[in-house]
Amino acid sequence: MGEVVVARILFLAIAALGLLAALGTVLSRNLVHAALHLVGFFFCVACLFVMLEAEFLAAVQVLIYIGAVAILLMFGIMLTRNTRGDDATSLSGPWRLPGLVAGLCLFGALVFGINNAVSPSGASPWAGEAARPSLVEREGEPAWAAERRRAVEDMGRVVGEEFLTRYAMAFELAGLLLTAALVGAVALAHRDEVGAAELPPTVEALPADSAEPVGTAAS
Amino acid sequence: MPVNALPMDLRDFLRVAPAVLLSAWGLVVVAADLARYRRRDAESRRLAVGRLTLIGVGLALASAVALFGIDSLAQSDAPRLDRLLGESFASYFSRPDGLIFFGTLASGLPTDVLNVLFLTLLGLVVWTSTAYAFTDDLGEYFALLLWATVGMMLLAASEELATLFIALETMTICLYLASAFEKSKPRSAEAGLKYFIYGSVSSALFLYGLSFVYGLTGTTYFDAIGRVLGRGGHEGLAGNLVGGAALLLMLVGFGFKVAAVPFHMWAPDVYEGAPAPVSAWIATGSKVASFVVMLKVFLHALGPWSNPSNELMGPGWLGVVVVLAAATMTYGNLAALAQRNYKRMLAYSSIAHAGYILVGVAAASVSTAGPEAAGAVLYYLVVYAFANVGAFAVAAWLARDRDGDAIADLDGLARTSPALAVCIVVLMLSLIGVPPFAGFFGKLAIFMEALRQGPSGTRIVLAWLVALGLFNSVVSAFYYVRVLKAMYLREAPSVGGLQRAKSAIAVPIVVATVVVTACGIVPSPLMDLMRAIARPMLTATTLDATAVTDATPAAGATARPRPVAWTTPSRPE
Repeated sequence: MGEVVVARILFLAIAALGLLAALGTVLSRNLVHAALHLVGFFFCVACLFVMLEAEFLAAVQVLIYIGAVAILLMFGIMLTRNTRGDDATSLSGPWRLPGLVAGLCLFGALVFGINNAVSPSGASPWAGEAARPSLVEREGEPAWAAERRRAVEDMGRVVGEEFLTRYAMAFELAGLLLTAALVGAVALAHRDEVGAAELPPTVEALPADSAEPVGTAAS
Repeated sequence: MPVNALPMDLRDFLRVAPAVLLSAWGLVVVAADLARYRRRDAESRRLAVGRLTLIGVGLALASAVALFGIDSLAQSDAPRLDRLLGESFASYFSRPDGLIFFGTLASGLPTDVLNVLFLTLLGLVVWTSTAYAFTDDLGEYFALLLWATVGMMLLAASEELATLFIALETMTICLYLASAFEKSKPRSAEAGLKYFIYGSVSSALFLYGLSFVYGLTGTTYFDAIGRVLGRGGHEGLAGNLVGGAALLLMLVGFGFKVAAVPFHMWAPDVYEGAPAPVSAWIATGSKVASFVVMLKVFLHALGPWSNPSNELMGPGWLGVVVVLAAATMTYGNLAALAQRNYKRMLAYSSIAHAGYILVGVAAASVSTAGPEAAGAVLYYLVVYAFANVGAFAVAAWLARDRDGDAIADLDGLARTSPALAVCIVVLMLSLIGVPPFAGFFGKLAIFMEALRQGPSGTRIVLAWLVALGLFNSVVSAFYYVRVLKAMYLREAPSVGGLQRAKSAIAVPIVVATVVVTACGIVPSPLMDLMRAIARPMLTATTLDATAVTDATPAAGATARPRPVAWTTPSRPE
C-alpha cells in the first residue's frame, strides 16, 4: 500500500499548490503577477492529468494553456501597458457582500453536487483509489475494446493519425479559421495614419524611458 | 510500431476544389491589395480589389459547375464519363456513397448545387460591396467574405459533428469581423461586438449539446447517430434527461444562427449596424448554410427523436420546433410593422422568414413524402436568399447616396429610377408571397408539406400552424407595402435624393428580380431539382463495415483495424 500513500500525498500537495495559485490569480493586484499565478495553476492541472495517467492531455495542457493562452495573455497585458488592472472591474463597497454570497452559494452547490455524485448515500468515503480498467488484450474481445485500448495506450499517435486522415479537412479548416481571425483582427485593430495624427499623443508616442517598464511595478 | 493509419484518397481534395480555390484566393486578394492597389485612390482601388475578388469567385464557380457536370454525368451516363476522365477517375466519381474524407464531408449533386448557389450569391454580394466606400481595409474585407463562404460551403457539406462545428465557427467568426469593418460608424463596431458576444455564447451552448450527443451515441457521424437512436425503440426520448438537454442546447445554437425567436435579439442591431453587403451575407449565406445543416442534423441524425410517440407534445423535438416556428413568424412580422429603418425592417422580415422555414423543417420530419419533403425548404431558401440579396443591394444604394437607411429615404424612387423601382416591387411582392412570384410557391410548397401527412396526432396542430403562417403573410404585406408606398406615392426630395444606380447596385437587384420571377412563372425545374437533391442530402450513409468492403475491396482485404467512431458502436447500452 506504500504507493497508494505516496499517490495520496502527491495529490494533496498538487491540489494545495493549485489552490494557492488560483487564490493568487484572483487576489493579486498586479495583472502580470496574476497571469504568472495562472500559469502555475495550469501547471498544477497538468500534474493532475499525469496522476490520472492521461499523459497526452497533460502535454497538451502545457503546450496550449501555458504555451499559448497564458503567453497571449501576457502579451495582451504588456501591449496595453495596463499592469495594475482596472479599479472599475474589481468589486468594491456595496457589491462586495452580494458577490461573496453568490460565490458561497456556488461553492455550496458544487459541494452538494459532487458529494452526491461520489457517494449518493453518503456512505462511501471521499478518498479512494480506482485502477484504470485493464488494458491487457483478451481473447475474443470486441473491436471497440481493442480500439479503445490502443487509443488509451498510445493517445498521441492515435490523435495524430486522426488529424491527418479522417479529420484532415477539419484540421485544415481550423488553420483557415485562425488565419481569418488574425487577418480580421489586424485589420480591425489597425489605426489609420490620418486618424492617428489627429489623436493626442498616447503612451506609445511618448519617449520610451518615460513609459513605466512593464512588470517591474511593485504591487 | 506499425502505422495503421487509414490510407487517404487524395482525390478527395479535387471534390472540394471550390473551397480550396476560395481559401487560396483570399490570400491572393490580401497580398495584391497590399502590394499593388494600396497606393491608388480610394475609388479605383475599391473597384480593382472587387474585380480581383470577383475573378476568384468566378474561378470557384467554374470549378463548382464542372463538378456539378461530372457528378450529374456520373449518374446519368457513366460510360461517357469513363471516356472523358479515364476509368480510375470515373469510377471514383461514380462511387455510390457520395462521401469524402472518411465520411466527414458529403459530395455529389446536393453539395454541388449548394456550392453553385453560395458562389452565385457571393458574386452578387461582392459586386454590391464595390458600390460605396465603407472601409479602408479592402483586401481584408473581401478575404473575410471569401473565407466565410468557405465555411458555409463546408458547413452545408458536413456529415459529422466535429467538421460541422469548425465550419460553423469559420463562417461566423469571419462574419463577426466583417460586421465591424465600417470603422467610421460606432454602430458598426457595436454590431460586431454584439454579434460576437451573443454568437460565442450560443456556440458554446451548441458545442455542449454536441458533446452530449456524442456521449449518448458514441459517434459523431450523422448517419451513425441516426441509426443508434433508431434502435432506441418506440419511447425514444422519454425520460432521457441528457438527450432532452442535448436537443435543447442544439436548438439554441441553430436558433441563434437562423435568428429564431427567442434567440433573435442580435439580428436587428447587427443587420442595421453592419455594412449593407455584410448584412446581406449574414441574412442569406449564413442562413442558408445553417438551415441546410439544421435539416441534416435534425432529420438525418436526430430524426428518430422527432416525434416517436406520435403526439405533438410527446417526447421529441417536433413540438419544440413547432412552438419556435409559431413564435418566430408572429413576432418577426409584428415587430417589423413598427420599423421605420429599412435594414431593421429587413432584419425582422428575415426573422419572420426563419419562422416559415422552421414550419418546413417540422413538416419535413412528419411528411409522408419522406426526405424529399425537405426539397420545399431548399426551394424556399434559394428564393429567399436571392430576394434578400436584391433587397440589401437597395440598402447599399441608400447608404451610398443618403448615408442613411430609413424607408423614407426611398421617397419618389419610381420617378427617378422607374425600372429599378419595378424590380424592387417584384422583390417585395415575392417576399410577401404574392403569385406569380417565387416566394408564393416557396410558401405554398412548405405549407403543402405541412398538410401532407398520414393520420397522426400532429396533423391538426400543423394545420393550425399553416393557418398562422397564412395570417402572418397577410400581416407582412403591410410593412413591405410601406416600401412601395414610399417609392410611388411620395415626392422625391429636391436635393440629395438617390442618384442613378451604377452596375454594382443595379445588377444584384436585376438578377434577384429575374430569379424570383423566373422561378415563380416556371417553378417546377427548381422545385424538382431541390426535391431530387434533398433525398441524397439527407440519407448519405456513413461508410460503415459493409460499405467499406463494398466500395474499396482492397482496404477491406488488408483488414486494418478501424477507429471506433467509424463503425456503428456496438457498446452495451
